[in-house]
Amino acid sequence: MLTVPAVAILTAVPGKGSAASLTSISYTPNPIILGGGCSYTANDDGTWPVSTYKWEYRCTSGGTSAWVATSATGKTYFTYEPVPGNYEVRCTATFAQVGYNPPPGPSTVSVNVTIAPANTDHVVSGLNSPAGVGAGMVMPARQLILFEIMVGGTPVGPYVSGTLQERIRRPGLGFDSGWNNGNQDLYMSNGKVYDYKTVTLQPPSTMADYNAMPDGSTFDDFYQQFRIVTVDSCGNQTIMYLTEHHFTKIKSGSGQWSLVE
Amino acid sequence: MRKSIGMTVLAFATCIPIGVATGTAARTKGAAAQAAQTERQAVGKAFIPSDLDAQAALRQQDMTWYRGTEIGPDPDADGLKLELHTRIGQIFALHDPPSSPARLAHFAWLDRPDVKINGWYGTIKAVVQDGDHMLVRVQILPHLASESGAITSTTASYLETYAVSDDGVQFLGGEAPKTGPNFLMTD
Repeated sequence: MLTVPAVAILTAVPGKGSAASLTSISYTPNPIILGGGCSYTANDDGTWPVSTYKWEYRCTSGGTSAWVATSATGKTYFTYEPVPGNYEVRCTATFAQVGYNPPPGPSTVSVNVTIAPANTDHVVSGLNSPAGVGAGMVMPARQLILFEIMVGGTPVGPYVSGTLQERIRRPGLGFDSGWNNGNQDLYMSNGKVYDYKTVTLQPPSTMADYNAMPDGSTFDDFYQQFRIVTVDSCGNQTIMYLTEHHFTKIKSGSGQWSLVE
Repeated sequence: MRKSIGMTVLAFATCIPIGVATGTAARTKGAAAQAAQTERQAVGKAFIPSDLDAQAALRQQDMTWYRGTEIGPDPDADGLKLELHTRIGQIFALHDPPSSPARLAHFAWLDRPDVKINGWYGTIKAVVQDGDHMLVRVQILPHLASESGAITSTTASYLETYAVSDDGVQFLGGEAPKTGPNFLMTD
C-alpha cells in the first residue's frame, strides 16, 4: 500500500513540474562604497525551498574575466570591495526535493555592479598644529597629517587595495618630485593616509635665526597630491587621483612650524 | 658671427664631457634592481615590484642613480621667452655642467648617511645677450634621495651664472642667495 509522506500532507507542495527560480540579487549599500562591505542577497519566487546557494563573481571592466567562486553558501553573500571597477555577481540555487516531488533544476541570477574609484581626500587632522623644528643635534618632531580618502563626499571603507603614491610640486622653485611610493612616513590604512612630515634647519642657520623670523612667516609653499594604483581581476590598472592640496608651512611659534591649507 | 642656440647643439654634444656631480654619481646597479628598473621603465612610474628585495634595490638605485641637471624656465615665462628658456634648459641637460666646488661646499651639509644628492634642478632667473653667447643666471637646488624613500627636499638654493652658447655651458661664478634660514624637509 502506498503511504503518503507526512510532509506532503502538512505543507503546501508545488505540483509536479512547477518552476522555481531565483528572481534577483539585491545588495546593500547601494551604491557600493570602495573598500567597504557589501551584502548581496538572492531573492527567489518562493515556490520551492532552496537547498544550496553558490556565489561567484567576475570582472567586466573592459573585458570579462573567468568566474571566481566564493566560499559563501548561504542566501546572503557578504564581501569587501577593495578595488574599483565593474563586476558581475551571480548566484546559483539548487532546490530541495519535497516528498516524492523531484526538485526543479538549478536557477541562476546575476547582477552587475559598479564600484566607483576614490577621487578626493581631505585633511582630517594635523593642520595648524605646531610641531618642533629640528636643528643641530635636535631631531625634528614628526608631524602627522591625516587625510581621509573619499568617493565624492563619502569616505571610503577600511579595505581599499592598492599602492599609495605621492607627488610634491613647488612651481616657484621648479621642483616636481614625480610619483613616489609610500614608505614608513607615508602609508594608507583603514581608508586614511598617514603622512609624517619633518622640518630641519639647514646649517649654519640656528634656532636663533629661525626664531628671528616673525610668527606667521611662510617658508615653504607647495602642492601635494596622492594617487592609488590598483589592478582589478581583469588585469586593468586603475589609477585613482585624489585631491591636489595647496599647503604652506609657516613659523607658528618659537622653534615651531605648522602646516596651513 | 653671432651664434644662435639651435640645432647645432646636438652636433657638439659628443665633444663636451658630461659632468659628474658631488661624487654621489655611482651608477652601480644590482641585478635585482636592473631587472626591476627595466620593468619599471616598461610600465611607467606606477610600477611597484612585488618582490621586497627588488623594492629595496630600486630604493637603493634611486639613492645612487645620478639624475643629471634639469633646468626649467622661469615659471612666469611665456611666448618667445619661454621658448628661449626651454632651449637653454635643453642645453644644460645635454652638457650637464660639473658642479662647482663652491656649490658643492654650499650643499655639503646634505652629505648625510640617510640623504644623498642625486642630481640638480633649478630655474632660469635671467638671460642677457653678451656677444656670441648668453649670460644665464640660474637658481640651482639639489635633487635629494632618502634612505627611507620619503620625498626629501630643501629650500636651500645656489645662484650661478653661466655663459651659454651652442658650444656648451661654461660656469662663470656663483653665490649663496641672501635669504632667511633654509630647511631640509621630508614630506
